Amino acid sequence: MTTVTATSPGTGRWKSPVRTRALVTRAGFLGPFYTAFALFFLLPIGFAIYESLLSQRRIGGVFGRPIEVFSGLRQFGAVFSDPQFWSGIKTVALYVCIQVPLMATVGVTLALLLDVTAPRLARVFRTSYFVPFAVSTVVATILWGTLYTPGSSPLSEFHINIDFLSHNLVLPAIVNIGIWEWGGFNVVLMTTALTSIPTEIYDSARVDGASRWAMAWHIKLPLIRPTIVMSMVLTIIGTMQLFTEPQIMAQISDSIPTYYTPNMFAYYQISADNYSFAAAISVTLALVGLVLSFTFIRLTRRRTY
Amino acid sequence: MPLGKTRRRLIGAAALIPLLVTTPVNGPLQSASAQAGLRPQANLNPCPKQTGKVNITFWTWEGPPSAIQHIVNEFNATHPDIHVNVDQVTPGFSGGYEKSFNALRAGKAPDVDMIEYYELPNFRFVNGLYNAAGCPAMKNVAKQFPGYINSEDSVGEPGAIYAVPEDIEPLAMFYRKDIFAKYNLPVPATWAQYQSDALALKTDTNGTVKMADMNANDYRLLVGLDWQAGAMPFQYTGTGFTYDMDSSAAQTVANYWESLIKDGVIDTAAGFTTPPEYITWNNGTVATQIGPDYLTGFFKGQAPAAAGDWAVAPIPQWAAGDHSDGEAGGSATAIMAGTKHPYADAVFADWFGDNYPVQVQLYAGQVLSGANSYLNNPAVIDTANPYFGGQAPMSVFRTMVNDVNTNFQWAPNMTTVFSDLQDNLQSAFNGSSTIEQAFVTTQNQAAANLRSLGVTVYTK
Amino acid sequence: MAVAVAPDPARSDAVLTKQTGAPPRPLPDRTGQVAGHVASTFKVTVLMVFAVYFLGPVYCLVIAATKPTNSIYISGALLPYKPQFWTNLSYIVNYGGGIYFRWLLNSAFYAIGGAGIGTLLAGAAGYYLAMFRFRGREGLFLMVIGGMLVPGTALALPLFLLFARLSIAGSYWSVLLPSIVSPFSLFLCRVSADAAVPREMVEAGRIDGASEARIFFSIAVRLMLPGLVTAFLAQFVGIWNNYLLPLVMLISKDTYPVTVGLGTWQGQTTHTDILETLILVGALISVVPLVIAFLFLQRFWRSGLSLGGVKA
Repeated sequence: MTTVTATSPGTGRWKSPVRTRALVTRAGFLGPFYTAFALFFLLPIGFAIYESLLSQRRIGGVFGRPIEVFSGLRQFGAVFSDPQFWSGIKTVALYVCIQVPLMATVGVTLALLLDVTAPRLARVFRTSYFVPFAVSTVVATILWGTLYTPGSSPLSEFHINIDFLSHNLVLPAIVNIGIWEWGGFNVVLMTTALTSIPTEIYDSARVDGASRWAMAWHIKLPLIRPTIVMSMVLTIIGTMQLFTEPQIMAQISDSIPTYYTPNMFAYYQISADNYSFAAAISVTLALVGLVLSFTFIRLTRRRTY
Repeated sequence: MPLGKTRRRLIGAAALIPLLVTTPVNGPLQSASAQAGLRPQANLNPCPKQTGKVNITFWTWEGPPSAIQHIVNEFNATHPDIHVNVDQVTPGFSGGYEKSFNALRAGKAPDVDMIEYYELPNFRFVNGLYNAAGCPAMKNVAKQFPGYINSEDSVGEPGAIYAVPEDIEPLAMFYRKDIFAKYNLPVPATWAQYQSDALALKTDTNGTVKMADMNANDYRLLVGLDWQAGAMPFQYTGTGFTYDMDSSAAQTVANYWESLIKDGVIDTAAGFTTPPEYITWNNGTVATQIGPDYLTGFFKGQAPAAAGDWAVAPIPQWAAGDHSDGEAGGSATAIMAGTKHPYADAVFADWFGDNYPVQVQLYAGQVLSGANSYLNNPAVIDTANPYFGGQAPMSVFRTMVNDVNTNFQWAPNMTTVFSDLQDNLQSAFNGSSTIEQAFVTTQNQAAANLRSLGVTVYTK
Repeated sequence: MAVAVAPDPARSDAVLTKQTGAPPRPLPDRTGQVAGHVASTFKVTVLMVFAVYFLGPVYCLVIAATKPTNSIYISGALLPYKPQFWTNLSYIVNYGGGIYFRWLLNSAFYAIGGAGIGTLLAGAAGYYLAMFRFRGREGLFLMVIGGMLVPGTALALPLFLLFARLSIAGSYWSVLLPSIVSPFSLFLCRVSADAAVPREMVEAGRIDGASEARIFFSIAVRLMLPGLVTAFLAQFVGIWNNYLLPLVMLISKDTYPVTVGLGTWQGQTTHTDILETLILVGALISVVPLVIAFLFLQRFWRSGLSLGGVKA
């Protein structure tokens, strides 16, 4: 690797061409990505922070002229005292706690089963599990929405009428959409990890008389643990962003209010003209996301790469 | 951990912020109408006659799309110097208004937009409307429509014209005359009679036929029923605003429907224009539908199997002999702030208000135009509708127009109010709360929202 | 579960079958084991159930997309009913002047453009982070990785307000440019460079007098290809799927991607019946591009997935 040393003879004012060239190289490789990152990632967050410190005032009655004034942390106070905000947080927390272990379990279990299946057959299964991944979230929600509606649901052909869109079942219904969409992806992820285990390990275990069950539990699982962790991190990232499925389901279900998830809540505040409030929600969510992200990286850093 | 590069980048980004502070913050346009709150104004907005051919965009969710395109084509043919591009959009109450607000924010709003009467104050609140009172086409608009609609379209600003009315939507009662005949039920003229009819129907059919469909999607109907009962949930008081959503009239309505739900005569799985509701209309599992006149088109399209079985009667009253009604919906063609062609917009809006309902009649059932020329024309009003077994539903609605309480007002943040009300009604209809509680909670949320937008708010 | 039985090469399947009358013994799996009959049946049953679970809805989608509009809700989900696929297809081609196919093109533009440029940027930056050590390297890296958990609204909504002030909200750029940034791609590219590009090769290139850029484009990219393709595909899928950003940012229907377009139709079905069918047909068609992308690039991404996973 290149270590950059400043070799400047004499007074030190003259920058060696090596150092300049090294900096130009660094700018060339890192510059584009980090410029885009600064413009389309850091800048909006900065703007959101700015907007969240403002409040609106009116001059001249209800339809008077609106002006923005600095109001410090007032918007954040409004966010944290809003029961709709907390309701959304609770819903997403519940969603994450159900979805993440369930997704990992489905992925690992199916991958393990496929690992002890003839490879050709396994590939057929795995491809069929992967098909929903090619379906966008919007389409998946529309599709499952149709399946959940009595009349177009296959269950109604057997005269089973469960209202999956009702108050108690709507969250599991949304969880199901997620499992359906990304379960196959997780299976492929786990399978890739499993197939990179050298078969010699199994030979010695077999000689010792280990059953397949024991092999799965004591050899395979520990060895793919980093991949399981990575899969769970990816799932957490995805589930925290919950917006599309409930947003579309809200058109057919009566059990999804506009504040169902924090993302939805912020989105509706924008159109309610409450820009500063929406900005405060966004900043809060970003902070929560950053804190959680750093925590996970700390915990898993050694294992992922 | 601050890093050289990162720190430099952050500082660079921060340097842009002063730029943003100096660009105007107040809504899409600092138009003259923004100062309107200070004093009633004469025609402050210029309306220059256009030169040459002009293209204007028109957003609407009026249907069916083919009928609207046909109407617009006719306008384009008869007005060679104005070309209207019509865009079918999501209905306002389904997210379409949010799109319009975002479009205004981005400076890409249409020239002319379909906005329901209740939503006009919200658009004015964000300086999203253009006062076209100075345009020649608007000169006679005020005379063409009932007085209270004009005040809705001037959004409380005497002399202003922000929109031209389209239709008028008083409430009436659609009912299954075959079911009422079969079980010998009198057509109710009072709400008390309505309730006893409902209970009798429940006994006679063992609960298989419900009296009405209602759930959280019927939030506008409930406010319309409050309107009928004489409630004034939204009031402009001096320079401030008052919410009174839990008045005694509102409580009467809330408790009434709450008791109907408890009686088990309401189908809460079917709500405003959703497929489950159409199914109940079609197969006779619901006996009445309280609703406005545009539902006539929906019946024809969504419940073909029940043709000839439905009829229309005046809405039940709280006291025998009363004549009181409210509205649920009704839209106007509004001229949007930032438009470059107010002259042409005014011409089109005026023409559309006159011609739309007549044309739509040919395609999709009937809608009651707000125009006086239409309302006072028996030849049009008394047209028999085959779906309703030869009855002329519009004549019933026409009499209801006279009964509408004319001093009803809408809040400047109706988007939030209705969104919150719909959310809160979900709890009411799944049993964890009551309709009255939904109104109380909504009032508190709406008041907090309006206060945070800088308005002086009172609650009763 | 059945007791493991080591396969005895001396005994062929034919011999076993004759002897026991049982169906031919299944082939040994990767662990060298052969499953017993009961365990095998159980396993295959479970696998089949999940295959039905994952594929069933797609089948239902196909069936529903072929139905005439007024029978979607009344004719059951499992069997075809008066199939009229080509008629429905012609409806979607003609509706709104073919707006659906405009949406498909838009999605392709955003996804290919965004993922293409994004992968190039992430590839270069990831390569540099992997190959060069300098003060602040880990900080720069972690700053981006930390961004992975920042939720969509925290970016999309402020971006909209920002772009609205600059009068570029609603344009194609307003969706394309933000889509370029992908923290996950940076992660993948760095790991890929780390794993696939040997330092010796880079050193050799330097000694030969090649510039860093030349080394990157002619040597490293080829070695990093599985990782790059995986990053491209992941970002492609993410942008193709993206709903919130274009929903907030875009105004005119002509600029919508398929996700927002279908979502908009879904909100209009109460007023326009035919949309029920169009949504289903549109949903079906929208699956095809992603399937094609995955099939064509299978060779690369299968090996790319092993990055960031096990270090056995």
